[in-house]
Amino acid sequence: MPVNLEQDESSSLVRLEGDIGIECAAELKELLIRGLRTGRSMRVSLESARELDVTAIQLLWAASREARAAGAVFAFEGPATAAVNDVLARYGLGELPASA
Amino acid sequence: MGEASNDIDNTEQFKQSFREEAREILVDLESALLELNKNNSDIELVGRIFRGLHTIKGSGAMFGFERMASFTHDLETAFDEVRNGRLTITAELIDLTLSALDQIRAMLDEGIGAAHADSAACERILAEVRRLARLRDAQAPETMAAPAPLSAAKGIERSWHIRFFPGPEFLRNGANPLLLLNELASLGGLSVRAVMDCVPPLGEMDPERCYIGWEMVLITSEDKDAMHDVFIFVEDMCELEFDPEEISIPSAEADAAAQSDKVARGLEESRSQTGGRRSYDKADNATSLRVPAAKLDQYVDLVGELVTVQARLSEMAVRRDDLEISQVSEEIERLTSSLRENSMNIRMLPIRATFEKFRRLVHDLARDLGKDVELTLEGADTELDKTVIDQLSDPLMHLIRNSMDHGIGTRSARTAQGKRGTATIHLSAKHSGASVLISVSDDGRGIDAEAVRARAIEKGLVAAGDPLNEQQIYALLFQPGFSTAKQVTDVSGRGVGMDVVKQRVESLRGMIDVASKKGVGTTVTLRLPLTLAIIDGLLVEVGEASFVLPLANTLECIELSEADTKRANGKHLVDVRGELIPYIRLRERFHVTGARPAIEQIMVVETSEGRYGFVVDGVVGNCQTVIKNLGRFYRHVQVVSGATILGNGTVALILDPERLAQDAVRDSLTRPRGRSAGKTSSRPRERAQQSVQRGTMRSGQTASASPATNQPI
Repeated sequence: MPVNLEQDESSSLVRLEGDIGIECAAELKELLIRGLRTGRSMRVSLESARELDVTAIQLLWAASREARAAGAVFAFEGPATAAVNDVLARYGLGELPASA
Repeated sequence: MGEASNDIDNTEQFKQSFREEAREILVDLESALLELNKNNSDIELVGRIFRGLHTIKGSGAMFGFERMASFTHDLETAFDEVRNGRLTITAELIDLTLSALDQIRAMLDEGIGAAHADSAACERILAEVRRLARLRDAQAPETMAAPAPLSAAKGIERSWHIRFFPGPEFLRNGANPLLLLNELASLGGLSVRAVMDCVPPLGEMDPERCYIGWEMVLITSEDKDAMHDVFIFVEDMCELEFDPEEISIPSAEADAAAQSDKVARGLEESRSQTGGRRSYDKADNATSLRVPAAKLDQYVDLVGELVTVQARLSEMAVRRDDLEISQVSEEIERLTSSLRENSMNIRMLPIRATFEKFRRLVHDLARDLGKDVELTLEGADTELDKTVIDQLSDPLMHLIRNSMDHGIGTRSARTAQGKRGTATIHLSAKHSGASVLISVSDDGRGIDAEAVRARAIEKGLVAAGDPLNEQQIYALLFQPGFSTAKQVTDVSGRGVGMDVVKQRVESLRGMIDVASKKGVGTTVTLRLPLTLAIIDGLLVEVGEASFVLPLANTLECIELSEADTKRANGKHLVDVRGELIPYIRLRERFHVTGARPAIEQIMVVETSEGRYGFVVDGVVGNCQTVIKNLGRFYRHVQVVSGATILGNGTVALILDPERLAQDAVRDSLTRPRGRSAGKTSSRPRERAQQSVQRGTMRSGQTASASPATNQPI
């Protein structure tokens, strides 16, 4: 699956790989909710992501908003690929919120 | 997973609607190209073509037609060059683009397995288009130096505010906002700001809905149409606004701030309403809907079933003699009748699209045949039942091909005859009662009746001594044997399936008229019924059998007594207010057994053979008749146009008065004198002759010969 969640007691890591499209949206939502519920910190790895579609962007955006509101850490791990940054720019988002 | 398969359905549905839209754009492109061929300095047309190609490319890519998108790209570029005055329109470019459109059409149909684009042809077209573009490069220095003449077509640069908020189903329908934003960016300088205010808490999110909206500023020389075209396939699913910035471009920041205020206010307002209604939810937003034809057919079928059931109810109400049931039944009858009319109206389409399609045919054929032909249209807004329109394309195509091939001469031949060098083919449509008349006229050579006759004799279709008038000779053109003729004379080559034309038109319960004058031209007129599915009929009885006569042609009903029959001296003629009207006794025609009542009824019907009477035992009354096909087994039975199920569950044959009358006329012509005791008896020869002179050809040769005809069901 292009969307994975790795968890330990205090933190969760959501790993996105390849093309993240609408077909993964429901699953990504569940993983983000689960990740936020358990950890004090949440990291999202976009290193192997090629393309994020709008469903993924808005889920990540909402997750980061919720993490911040709850005082948790929300960060992107490692540099995002050029493709992802390009997509974000074209969506008029600049960069993803709370980027590490 | 249920939802996943739903998504697939949705995507497929969306693709389908793209296919439909794209087909319309292709038709428009074709007519624009052909017009451009005539007037190659029309900047508007170039713009229209560019935009059409652009939309096909952009939206094609969006819906997964990548191959089509990349194929269209080079064409679009070529027309952009034309628009910028760097490339001149030539007949070659137009022809190339036309053949490219054919390939695009095939690519559209590939998904549904209906066609295959020819890769080699695509490559060839692209190579040619690129070659033309390179020619442009070679000329570039001088053209570039001079101000581009067509660039004035492009407006001056101005700035537009664009608000784009996708609706709930946007993503599920396979649309991708990124592609739209990219496409907008291709129109000029675009700055984009995502509006995230509507993104709900994670837990409340529908993961497949787009909550992000976009505020954009686009600086472009394109007009609003061009921007609108970007969204053409998704405009029903999103909220969209284009506001021109009147004077200069304000600083982007101030602009964005003002905008975000506006957005915030707007969002606040929309959120305060229940469910945050957006404009795409509003009922008045949907002024028209795109409905698949199959759904409409289903709808009409259901209405048909309803009509049948309603007939049963009416029948039951009469039988029970119960006032309450009668009232309900009458009300249902009224409603059903309105519903029926309504459903028929929904299926009515203007014939324009079919007509427009022939511009291309005429253009291509004229080029292939080295002739100069212009197509003119009249009454293209005339509406017809969709089923009729669908089946009309082929016969019209054959007729046009014939006109172009044989009717119209070359430019030199025409000018030698003192005619205008450019020939005209005129397509027209108009209503006439319950029928539509569609004609194809040309100003060509006209039909050489003698040549046709000679050919028919050679083919053994008629005997050398047969007295034939002009109309009867023209009718020979539609004989199956005739069409296979080799090109021996001008006319005998009319072999592109004229018999097919006749068959098709007859299967639509239509007729063909031919009028021609040697040296002046030919007009072929198709007379077709407005609708095919449900008609108003008059239910009549003959013995145990029931028949339906179409009400549209029925004029009156008069009594026929034993005394009248005797007065006519055994002839099947009746005197109606001084006019002698021939009649056909259905009892005899269909071999219905049982005794004749003392007083019979004659239904007087208007046919192309003049007025004809149909003698029945009694008239039951009006009935809405759902026409059911008799099936393949009875396909040769032409005097019956179908059957219908009556309220009491029995089947009534729907008669075709035209055919019955024609059969009768032919019988009276072919039957030797004195043999008048047959089923239809004799009719005055003058009458028959007279009606043949009206020039209607609809000889249902097989009908009277087929034993099935005489079988009462």
